[in-house]
Amino acid sequence: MKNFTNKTRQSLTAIGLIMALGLGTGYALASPGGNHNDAIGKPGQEATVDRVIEISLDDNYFDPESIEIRSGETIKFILSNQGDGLHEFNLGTPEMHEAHQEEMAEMMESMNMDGMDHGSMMGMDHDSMGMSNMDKGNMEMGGMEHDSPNSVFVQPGEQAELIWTFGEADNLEFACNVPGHYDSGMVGAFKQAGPADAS
Amino acid sequence: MSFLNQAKPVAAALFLGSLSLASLSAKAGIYNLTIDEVMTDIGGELRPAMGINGQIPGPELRFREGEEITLNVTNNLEEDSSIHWHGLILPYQMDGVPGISFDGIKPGETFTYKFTANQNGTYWYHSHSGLQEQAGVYGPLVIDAAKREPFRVDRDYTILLSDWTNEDPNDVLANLKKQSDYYNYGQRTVGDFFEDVAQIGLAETISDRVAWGNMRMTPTDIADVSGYTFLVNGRNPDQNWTGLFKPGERVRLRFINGSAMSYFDVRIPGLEMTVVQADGNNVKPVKVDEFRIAVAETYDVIVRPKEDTAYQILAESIDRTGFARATLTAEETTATPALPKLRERPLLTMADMGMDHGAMEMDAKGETGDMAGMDHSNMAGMSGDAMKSGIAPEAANGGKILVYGDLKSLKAVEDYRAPEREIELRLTGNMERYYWSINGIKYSDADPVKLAYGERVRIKFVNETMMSHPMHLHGMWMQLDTGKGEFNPLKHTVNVPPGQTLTVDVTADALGEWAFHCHLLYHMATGMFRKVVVEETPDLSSLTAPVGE
Repeated sequence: MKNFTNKTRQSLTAIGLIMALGLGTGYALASPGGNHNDAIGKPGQEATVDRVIEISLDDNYFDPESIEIRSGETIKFILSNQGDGLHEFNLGTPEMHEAHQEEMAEMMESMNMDGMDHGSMMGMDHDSMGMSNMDKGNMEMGGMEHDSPNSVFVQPGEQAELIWTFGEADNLEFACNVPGHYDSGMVGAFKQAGPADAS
Repeated sequence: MSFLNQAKPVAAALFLGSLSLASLSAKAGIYNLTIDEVMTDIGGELRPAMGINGQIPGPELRFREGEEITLNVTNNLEEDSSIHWHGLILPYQMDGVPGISFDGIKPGETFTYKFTANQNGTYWYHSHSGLQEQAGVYGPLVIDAAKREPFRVDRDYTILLSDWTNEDPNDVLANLKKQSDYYNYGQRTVGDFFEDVAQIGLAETISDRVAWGNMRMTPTDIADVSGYTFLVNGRNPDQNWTGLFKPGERVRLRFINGSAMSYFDVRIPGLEMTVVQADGNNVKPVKVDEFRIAVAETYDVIVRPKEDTAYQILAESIDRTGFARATLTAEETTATPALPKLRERPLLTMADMGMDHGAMEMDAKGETGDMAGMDHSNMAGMSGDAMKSGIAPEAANGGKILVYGDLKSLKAVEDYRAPEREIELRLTGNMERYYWSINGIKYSDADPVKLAYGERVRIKFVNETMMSHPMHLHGMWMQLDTGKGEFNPLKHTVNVPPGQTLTVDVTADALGEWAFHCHLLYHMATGMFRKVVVEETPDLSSLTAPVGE
């Protein structure tokens, strides 16, 4: 049992790191000032939601795998994890995803663990996902405790939401950046159908 | 001749695509195969060989999960033959092992195999008669999944690795029996001896030599047959099998090691590989720069070439005598990369034999055998380079190489449970006289391993030889213990490195008689083989008796 406890805490720590990375990347991308940020869009408000789209996250793919969007449109994504493993819904350009994957892989490696161990994930108390409950001992989390507007992690059997107002970018993908998942095809395309008012 | 059908990979891929579409609606399929004498110049001179439907390798069989399969196999040889469907779970009478599953296929006769494809993934098929597999009787077998697969790819290529010799396989075996190091072109010389003395000192050099001598093996025994031409889909490195891609596409490569005797270290310089299946079973994706594929294993990887260029798929034999080579080429490129230099041939060291600590274990068990004469006190002084591993794989680019510990089943294995008993199988052999055995007993002298239907057994492989042995169980999955519990991966073939111990758990869920053997062809042929019998109510005494003794 001692081992189990250690492993569980390690996994919690890992999730904390993953969250932090997600947040870090997301925050940087969503922060104002960068040229491409306007194009990818911004977090949306519940009040302005134009459409609701349900996406299932499974091992290891999205369903559906392609979504048509319009510039200026606000979409609420309802994300259900139907699989056995942790998955992410991260909205960004291929370059953003690539950077995020590298960070996650490095972090996992430096932890010398595979954070995707289902067994120890399943029993997780979701309340502990909140950073305040995490063991911060070895983590440098300064400045990372922000909402992650373009990314959300979804536990197996759980649901999450993300609201996004799309910009003009036509190369956006929704991706899971858990190591190996994007590479094996857990990525979907947002296809631009033109500005919302053109319809 | 044999490679004509591979000359246009694009067309081949399209053809396969339409085949699998057609089989979406088909619930039953009839396939006809013939085993023929053929001629091939694949090794540089025109030689007699054996093929399937006139070609080496045989045609890719593409089934649909759930499909009811009928295979009419006609033997056009002048000797008995057979086809075994490697890795498929099916009634034992359809498993294709002469003397166990059936009587074999007589010359001129046709045997009809009938079974349902109850699984999906990458497998292969081959003769289980004599040394016909080495002569060319093998081919790829792919079962498309009934449901959505846990990955998405734009292209799907099969990469069947194999080893070809211009010699008659029977002569190869005869030569090995006459002189076990017949093919060991890297044999150490007196000059090496003095070099070693200069490097590691006289005492260690002598103790090293004495130790090897006592094991009746030599440190260059990484592979016991050399002189091979290595093939990808029947094409040699010059013929360079080529698959096309568009930059950014995800390409699935189904690696099958259909060699008689050769292990490969596989890499694609410039590309990371994401391993998604092992032995036909989905695993959690793991990104690697290189992987070692034992004889008879399969690995499916996904690569995503982004550049408008050509990437070489390099499968370097582990004794570093050559490459099997293929190329992934962007549709728009004219790049033609050259083969790199072979890496240095590794020397086995005593560390590889588990002699640094493993020797003590063996000694403690009071085993007798080839190791018995070893003087352990000589070993104690060994250090430094002398103890470094000669075979532990290292990636050519210094990156990540796949190890068994990376393999985790994508889904929890349903029947995961504690084994009810353990069977220890010591992998043994006498290299000087060239016979291989299990627990010191050749197949011809051994009793079958009896399992009770439904029981869960742990099989512990203890490799007491200095060669790797790819152990293959027919009819039932082996759940390889990688410390992942219910996520331990299911395999049909597990590699047991020299001097190492490895455990697998098996649920005896398939009644009948099955083969269980080392998949190195000449090891199997000389006795590293057991019959496994799964019975409803086996003789209880046979269950408790040590297996094979």
